[in-house]
Amino acid sequence: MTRKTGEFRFRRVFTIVSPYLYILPGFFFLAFFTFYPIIFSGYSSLFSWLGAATGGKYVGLENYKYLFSDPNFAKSLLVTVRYVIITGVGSVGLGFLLAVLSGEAVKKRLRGQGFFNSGFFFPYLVPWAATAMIWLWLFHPLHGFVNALLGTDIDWVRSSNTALSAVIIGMIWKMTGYYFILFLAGIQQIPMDYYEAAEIDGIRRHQRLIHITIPLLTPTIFFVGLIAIVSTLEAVDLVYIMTQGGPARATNVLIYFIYERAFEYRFWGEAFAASTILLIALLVFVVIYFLLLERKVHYER
Amino acid sequence: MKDDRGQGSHCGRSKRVRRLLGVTKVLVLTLLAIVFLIPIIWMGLTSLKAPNEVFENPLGLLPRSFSFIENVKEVLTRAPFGHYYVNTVIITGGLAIIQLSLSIPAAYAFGCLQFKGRDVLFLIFLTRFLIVPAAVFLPNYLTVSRLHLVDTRLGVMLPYFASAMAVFLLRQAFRQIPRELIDAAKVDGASNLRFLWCIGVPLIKPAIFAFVIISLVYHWNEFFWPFLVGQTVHARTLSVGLGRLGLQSQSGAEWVLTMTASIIVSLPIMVAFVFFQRQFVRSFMRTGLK
Repeated sequence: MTRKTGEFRFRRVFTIVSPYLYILPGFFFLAFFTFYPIIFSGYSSLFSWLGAATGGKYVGLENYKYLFSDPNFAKSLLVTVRYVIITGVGSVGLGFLLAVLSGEAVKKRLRGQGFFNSGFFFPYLVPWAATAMIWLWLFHPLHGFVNALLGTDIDWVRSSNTALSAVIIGMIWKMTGYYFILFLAGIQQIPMDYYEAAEIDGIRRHQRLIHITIPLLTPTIFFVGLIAIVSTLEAVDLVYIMTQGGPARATNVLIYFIYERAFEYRFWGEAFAASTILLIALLVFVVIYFLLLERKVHYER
Repeated sequence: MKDDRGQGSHCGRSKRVRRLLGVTKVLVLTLLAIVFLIPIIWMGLTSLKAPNEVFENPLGLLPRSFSFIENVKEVLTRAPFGHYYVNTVIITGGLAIIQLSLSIPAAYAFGCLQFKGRDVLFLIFLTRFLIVPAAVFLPNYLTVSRLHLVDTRLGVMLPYFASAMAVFLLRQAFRQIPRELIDAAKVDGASNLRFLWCIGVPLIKPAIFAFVIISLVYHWNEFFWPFLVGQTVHARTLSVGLGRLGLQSQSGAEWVLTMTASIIVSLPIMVAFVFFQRQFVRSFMRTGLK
């Protein structure tokens, strides 16, 4: 009897606890490699560091003070903002445009849609390092395709006026296809009836875009925009291979700045301070993302 | 289908106009797609040429010789790409397996079980969507180096073990399993774990495949974090090897070799895409939040 109630109690406790056991292994790694680093980064930014060695003494906000008085950091922030905004607007805008054009073709089952859908998406599958090499070669001052086509002799990557544009063009080329696919998925979910009804009512093509497609895609536009901002902010691969932050810091985006401070100058304290600033910005985007998610859920109800 | 409804009076003309518009649109889209593909075609054509050919007219696209095989041989003498292939397969394959085995139970709990704090915990898991390992590379590098895992394949993989994408995609699939099926299994005495393994996992196979494609592509292509950790041949992936080769040879102007190496690195994913276009596109479509 007692044994049976004991077993019963154990089972009850187990049914309450077991869901947590299912998520525990995943959560452990999430905590250890995503949340702990955020806290660790903030904590470490308050210390002076000797290279990557542990310890150093507590210096309060000294590292931040130093960063904010450093013109190179200001420059890096400016470059980052330009990099993120131009890449974001360019790739999301282009992805949206192509999806709207192609979306109707998909709905009407026009021929050739498979080809151009795959064509736009293809660059997204090219590895970052290969993307960097391809664009370095396309932008080659003497033998590159871009200069040959334009009839110019610009040294795209090694001139501080054009280096950031070169990186951004590479980014837009690679990322547009992914946003295109996300928008296409959104358009495909719009019920065909809406368009048919609009057509019967004699509503014109561009009005259909303004009154049906764009309003119904608004949540998707916000999401894709947010994803684009965040993933551009985090993408340093092209910068690393194409320009190494140069020339004259013209492409010194924030993650590259952090890398340089830590691994090249060995100023880990400042690197942690910059890393913390980046993470705070990212956490702001996380909050915006949650708010959007909640609103979208309401919206769909 | 639409044209036979109403609009009788100007039907004939507008039909023709519309068809013309449709054809123009397809033409424009096809042209744009070709523009998107030019850099990849340019990479392919360059890799076929003999090293000196590229310094002639850049718009003379077509190669005069077929030197691809020699180029590949030359690339293989510069860096051990064969070894990089092995590393990449182990890292990408291993990661997909680890991510799935951590995410399937979590996604099942989030999708099918009731417990306190479920939705909040799920949201917390989703933050990993936006904070990728590249953003926390600095503290993670210290962690990995304190665990003495720098320059190991495990070190490259560790920060990616928990995958928000996997949990998100699989949870969505689990949620679509009808409640009655879960209840019926319970009545028959199946435990959660048994249900998950025998009924749940087979039912969400399409979502699992979709995730595997996404994960393989992502990690095959990744550069920055694997580059930081894979410091010698020991743990380097293909992308890292290519990046390093590129950094070394930029001044040397060995474009034929770097383009050949780029082809070597990109080819597996590209070939897979050509054969499974539909599955690829659909998998990535799933990642848009619904």
